[in-house]
Amino acid sequence: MNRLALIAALPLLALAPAEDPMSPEIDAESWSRHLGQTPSLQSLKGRAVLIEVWATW
Amino acid sequence: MVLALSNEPASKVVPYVEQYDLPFPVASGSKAGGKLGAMVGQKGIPHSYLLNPEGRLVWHGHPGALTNKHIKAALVGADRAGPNAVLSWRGEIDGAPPKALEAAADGELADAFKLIEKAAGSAGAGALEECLTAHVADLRKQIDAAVGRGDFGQSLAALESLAKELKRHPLGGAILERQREIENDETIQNEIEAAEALDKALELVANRGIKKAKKSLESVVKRFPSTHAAKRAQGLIGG
Repeated sequence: MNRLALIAALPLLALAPAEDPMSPEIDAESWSRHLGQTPSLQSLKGRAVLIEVWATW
Repeated sequence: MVLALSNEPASKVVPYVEQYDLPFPVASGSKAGGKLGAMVGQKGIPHSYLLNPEGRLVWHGHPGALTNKHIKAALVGADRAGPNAVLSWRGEIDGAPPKALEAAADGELADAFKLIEKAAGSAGAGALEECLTAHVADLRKQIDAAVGRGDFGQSLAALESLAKELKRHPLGGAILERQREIENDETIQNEIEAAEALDKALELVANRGIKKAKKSLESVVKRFPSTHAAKRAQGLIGG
């Protein structure tokens, strides 16, 4: 039961609030198809964000 | 907002983005995907992470497992993206007028500049003015790059918002001039018309399938030769 509760809570605990230094900053060498301020945790505050981690292969 | 992150170099990512005309921001050379994966014990890709407006992870998994229910839950309390959303600038600058920072975050750049002017002389106000001036210059470069690759919808809407927002600001003159240049450029206007025709054909593709939409796609190629839209339509038809 405890284990199940921990698993259920994991997604919420996995990323701390944006100002928490444990949250990974959205870094990039460059951006394509981007219009507006360079995306960062701070610039995305107040928005729901879907991050797709992918590769071309 | 959708962001795609790849740890591969731009030399691999950009051609893929161009080939498939991906309509959302794509990062090259990003390490954030690996860090996110490490946090949740996920090594495989593709993998999706859904963050709520507070920046908390509310769901992660294979992109194919993402449902409308997950998205609706994540959208609770999210800011609505108004016409000025693309103009928004968020940052923290010590000593900057808080109301100017708020206006900049809302994309109300004209108000932000006015509030900076009122606080003229303070170091924070000067630093914020520099950031916003650089932000406007970046937006102009991004808009020109998008127009250059035939991505007109979002970029021209952004140019219109920027011109409208800064019409009474010294930076606005050059932006308005660029907007007029585009309006009077026959090649760009032809590209815009072609893009609109392609959008209609793509709607048909989505609703009735590529076979039924073939004539519409062929019409784009025939009516608007040598345009970005014709190239895309030809790519969809094949050959």
